[in-house]
Amino acid sequence: MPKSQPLNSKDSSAFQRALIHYEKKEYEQSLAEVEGIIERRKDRLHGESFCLKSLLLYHLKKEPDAETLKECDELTAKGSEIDSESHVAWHMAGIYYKLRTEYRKALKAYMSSYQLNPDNSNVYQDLAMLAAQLRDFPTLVDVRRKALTQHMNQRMSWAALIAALFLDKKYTEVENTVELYDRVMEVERKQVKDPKVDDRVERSECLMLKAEAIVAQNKPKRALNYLYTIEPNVRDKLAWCELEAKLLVEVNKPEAKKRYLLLIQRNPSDVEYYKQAMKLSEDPVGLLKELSAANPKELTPCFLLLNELDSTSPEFTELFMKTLLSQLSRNVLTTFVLFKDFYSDPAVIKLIDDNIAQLKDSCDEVPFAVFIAYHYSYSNRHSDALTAIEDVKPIADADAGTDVDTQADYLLAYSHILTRAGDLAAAQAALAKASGKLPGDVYLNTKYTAACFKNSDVSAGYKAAFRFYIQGKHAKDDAEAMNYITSIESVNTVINMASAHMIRQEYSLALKRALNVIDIFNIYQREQYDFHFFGPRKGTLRTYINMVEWEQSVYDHDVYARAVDIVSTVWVTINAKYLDVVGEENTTLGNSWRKEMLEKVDTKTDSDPFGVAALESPDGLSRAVDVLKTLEKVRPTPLVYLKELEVYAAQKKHVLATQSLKKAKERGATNSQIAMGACIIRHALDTDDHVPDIIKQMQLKLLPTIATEGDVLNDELLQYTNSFVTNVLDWLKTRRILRLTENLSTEAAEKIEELVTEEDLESAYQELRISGVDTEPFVKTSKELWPRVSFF
Amino acid sequence: MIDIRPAQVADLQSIQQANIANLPENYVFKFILYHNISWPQGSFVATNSDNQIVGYVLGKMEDDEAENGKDNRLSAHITSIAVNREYRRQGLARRLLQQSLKSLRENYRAEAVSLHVRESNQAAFKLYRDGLGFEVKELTKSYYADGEDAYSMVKTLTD
Ligand SMILES: CC(C)(COP(=O)(O)OP(=O)(O)OC[C@H]1O[C@@H](n2cnc3c(N)ncnc32)[C@H](O)[C@@H]1OP(=O)(O)O)[C@@H](O)C(=O)NCCC(=O)NCCS
Repeated sequence: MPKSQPLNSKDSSAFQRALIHYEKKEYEQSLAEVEGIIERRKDRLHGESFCLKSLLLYHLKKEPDAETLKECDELTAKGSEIDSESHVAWHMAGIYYKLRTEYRKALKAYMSSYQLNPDNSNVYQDLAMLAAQLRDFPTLVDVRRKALTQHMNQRMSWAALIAALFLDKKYTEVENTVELYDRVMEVERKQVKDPKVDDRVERSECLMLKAEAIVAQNKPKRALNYLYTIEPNVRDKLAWCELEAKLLVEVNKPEAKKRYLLLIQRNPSDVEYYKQAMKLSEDPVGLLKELSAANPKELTPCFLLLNELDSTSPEFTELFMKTLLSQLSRNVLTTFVLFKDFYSDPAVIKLIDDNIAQLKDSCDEVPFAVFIAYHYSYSNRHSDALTAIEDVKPIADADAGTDVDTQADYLLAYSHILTRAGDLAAAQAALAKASGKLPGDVYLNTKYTAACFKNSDVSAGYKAAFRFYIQGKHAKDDAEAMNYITSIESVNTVINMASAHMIRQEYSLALKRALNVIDIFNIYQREQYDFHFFGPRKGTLRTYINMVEWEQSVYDHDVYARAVDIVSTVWVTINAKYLDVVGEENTTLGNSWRKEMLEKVDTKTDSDPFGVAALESPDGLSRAVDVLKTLEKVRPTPLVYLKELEVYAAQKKHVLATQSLKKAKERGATNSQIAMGACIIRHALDTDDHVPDIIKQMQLKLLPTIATEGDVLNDELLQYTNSFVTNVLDWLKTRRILRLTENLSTEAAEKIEELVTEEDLESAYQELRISGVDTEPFVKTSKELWPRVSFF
Repeated sequence: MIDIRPAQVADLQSIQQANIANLPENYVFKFILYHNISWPQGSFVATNSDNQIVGYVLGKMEDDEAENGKDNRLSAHITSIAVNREYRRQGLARRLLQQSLKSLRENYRAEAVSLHVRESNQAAFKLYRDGLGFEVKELTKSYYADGEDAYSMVKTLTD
């Protein structure tokens, strides 16, 4: 690429005018000037003009389309290459990439601009934010230091540098900088004589941060001494006291216990304080007894005490029963939640079994029935549980004379018991009734919505999910309400929608909703950007630092993992053509809800509201890899690697698939999972006519070193699967992917006893459905074992 | 066992979802992050043994003078509070608020605290008035998006 030539005076002033128009947001006029320059200088290209034009094209469109974006990308790349010595060109390129949230490219562009002209404060402020967003802490420190030298009197610049140093783990420098800052402030304090200067949040924060920097250097004694010198200037008394207590423990001072007791006085429901105090006590049980006696209304010390006692001892029995009876006597219907934790202990279950009569006498009929139903349900006696709770069912009827709050609480409990017994349809009906009784209660509606989706009744589910948004005037119809739900980032609801569509084999909508969830997580991640400015300005440095550190784990979330699983499953299923699902889906999708939505949906705000385009997108599998890689960074679990394996196998990337199997094994995959992975890889190799022989041979050599059970290369695949994929769900999946589906339903029925929970049963049933086999033999056997299960 | 403790940045996503599950007034994550970075010590959470957030309170300071009222007292404000229905009537909301108010007073020298509550929300109204000593300042007409009126309530904070 030729290098840029200097502008003549006419073009130079045209460019100046263009910049002024740009700053005033007069994009049309600016564009006219820039295009004039480009036109006049066809043979002597001017990079800065290209970069500016790119920004203008971007801003002129409210939502730039793919074509415009492509042109902008090209202009920016070309402009910054031609004018690679111009800090202006790089600055504009940086602004453009930042707009596109391509932070890595933006950082590089800003860095180039900064190196060419270190004194432009606009550049180094943005550069600092990018460096923080990308966790490039050495650059962040460098730039924050630069900013401080230019603005020694700006408090924010000090705070920003101190935070940067802390993030970069330069703890001694944190200390020195806080000292220096305090001396500068000392001067200000003397001049202004305003007591508020002493009292500012960011001063208090800097002082606490210095204490934490000393702690981080493993110098508890010095940290403690320092903490005492700053006490009058620290506003966050709680954090101060917590740090003092922690440090007293570290330096083995006997006062530590007293400090924790003071913290307990301040907040008697903070479990951690008790745990620390117990560690420091020679007689933890005695301590808890004292604390319980001193504060009989507080349950925390009492429950901690119960945890310490032997659950078969008379002392435990007495205290447990006393606590339970006194809670029951309050007649709050949901008392069980307080005691749920004890249900892994058979001794407690027996204790309650032996004392049912006493419980019955301690409270009204309904709270008793609810408690006992939970008791049976959590000890896996589902039909007893249902009998107990259905015994008092008439109280939920309109003419029962019970207050609606109690009725709603009863129905909420009833739906829990039903769900645990697998009767999803009745659970949905119970919650429909509950939220009908208290139509203003958002929580009941949320539960009802979730129950609809769990029962894969999507039209009722959507209706319920939209209700409050339409009623609250946030949305005028279903289509707007759906947009509202995603814009308010209601991930828990959206992921339930995705799962329900998945169960119904409505793949395009399942994909759409899972992608909605993934988008929301990307927003969570991106949206911290502005806080790299706001945090230091507010001065709440410890929280800002927490945010930066926490951000590494945004994606480490069950909801995100579920979304990634759905996205990759759908794209694998479609792309590997395991099934001609698209054709099949078109019939199931004729449901009335979608038809209704279709009329209202505004394709301007979302060009693919039903995910049809996404489903058919040719790069589905590579997008699946992208999201899996994001998840892998925070959750390198066997399940993630096995999913990657499936995607690679579908892409016919055999080497990568084998590597994923190896990683799954290293992370502790079960033998059954390893056998499943090996089968999928061998099947992919067997059915790929284009794989180069050398690759094939290499993988075939590797496979038996990973899957060491049996002989995965020479055994017949069906026989291998049946022998070594021992987990029923893995086995069903392997058989589906290998298309060995003959007799599958009958064989699955024979394994029904291995399915322990209602969820496993449902997953097995779903596998059979996607396999396209007749599910009848399986369903028939299931119903004998699980009479109340409703999802068939 | 229920644990009540100061909210951390890592809790904010769950607070957002708990708010959506309990109330019709919802906030995007960025707002909750802004809230927490601005007034980190005003918010508390209640968690169960599975570490799920079952209740929260978001407390802040009024940042503009108009909001501080005529008497010019430094005023705190409860942005949002909720407890999942299964965990209600166990005193969680009262404890959450007590912790939040103490912290707002210590950290920001709050002299008073205000909040809004739907006219129809008897549980919350009783909690504020009977449980914590708030007083009704006025009834604000059509305060909520759906047209419902709100009680504006206040309480003086002392050490
Ligand atoms: C309002 C809400 C937060 C109360 O939570 P909670 O943890 O159940 O409240 P507490 O147990 O701490 O109640 C403390 C006191 O408030 C009063 N109170 C709470 N709920 C009540 C109810 N349903 N009916 C009557 N009084 C009630 C009582 O005086 C109670 O003391 P008591 O149990 O010793 O009689 C909860 O009902 C909720 O989350 N509702 C939905 C969301 C909401 O409305 N938020 C408030 C928006 S302004």
